[in-house]
Amino acid sequence: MKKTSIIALKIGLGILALLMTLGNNCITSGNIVVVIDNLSDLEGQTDTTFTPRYVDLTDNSDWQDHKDQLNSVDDIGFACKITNHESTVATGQIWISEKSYSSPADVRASAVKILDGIAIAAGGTRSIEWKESADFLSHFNEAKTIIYKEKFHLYFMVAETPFHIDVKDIILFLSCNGKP
Amino acid sequence: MKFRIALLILLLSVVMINPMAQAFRFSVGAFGGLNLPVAQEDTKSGTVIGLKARIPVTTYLAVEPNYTYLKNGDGEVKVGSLGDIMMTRDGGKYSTYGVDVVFGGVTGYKGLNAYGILGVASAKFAKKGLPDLTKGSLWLGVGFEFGITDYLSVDFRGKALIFPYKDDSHSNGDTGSRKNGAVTVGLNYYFGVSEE
Repeated sequence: MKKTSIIALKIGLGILALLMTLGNNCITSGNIVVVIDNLSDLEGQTDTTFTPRYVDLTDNSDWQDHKDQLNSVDDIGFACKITNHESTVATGQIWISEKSYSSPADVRASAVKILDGIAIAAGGTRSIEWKESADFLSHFNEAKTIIYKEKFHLYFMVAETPFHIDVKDIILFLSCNGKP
Repeated sequence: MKFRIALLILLLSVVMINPMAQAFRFSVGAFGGLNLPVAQEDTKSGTVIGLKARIPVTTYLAVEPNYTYLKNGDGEVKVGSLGDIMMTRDGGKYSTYGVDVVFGGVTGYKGLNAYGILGVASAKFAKKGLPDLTKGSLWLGVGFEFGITDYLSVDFRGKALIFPYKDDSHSNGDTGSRKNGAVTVGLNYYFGVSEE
């Protein structure tokens, strides 16, 4: 029994040492969801009306409360309602970049495509919710490095040209690991 | 030919179990229950199921190779700007393979036993739309086992999974973790020597 207790004690001390190696932050961290819901509606039209939405996370109180103890952004999600004004099916996309671009061609050349493949019928409207946006998520690792910079642009576009869309009720969801 | 050799080894193993059983005892079991994410706004409680074997090393110490699957429930967030509607997101799931060290009453004979659990595992966290994360993880917990007979037992366990990870692309970030509690009921069958 005494020998077993010593073995158990050694195992316990080993695990304790491992936990200490991981650090206090590892033990006390949790996940919070930051919701950015102050992005205004927009209209996007090939070359004529091309307005990205600028996001400044330092304006968000939840982000501000947790940014100093932020370990990682674990998930990115969107909700929005897209209307396609063209007479052909449109493939909706969302791109992200720190820089401001003035044309779809520049965005395609230099930004990071974060959502792709949202099929919107000709003359139709499609609502995307947070859960569904995961079906279209791409380039997560590249996108989150831009989000860590805290200030970035979101571009709402269509894969086909020409395009003409309205985007309403835009919400950005960030799941972040840090001090809860 | 290979099949015949494998069959021969299997038959010899079965024949040898009887004399070995005089000094050796082990169990296999299955468990299931409730999975409780800790401090995670992006998930809700879900389910856990798993398989385990127990190989006693001494009367008070055993090792348990195990497989555990934990499914998180969908996370929910209320969106104020859209009239307080609730939106959800897939909570993710874990598959873990590991070995627990169990200390205390580990023999599984008829009656009540209590024990502590410390374990390591390779855990994969998968969430729809995101790259999978596979990390070395820790299990900590306690358990109570009631031996209905010397060969059949029911156990009740509370275990915590600590899944640490660091995002190297965030220069200011530290190592964080996701933590889940698992409350399970299990059924075990023992092979080998009886106490009677």
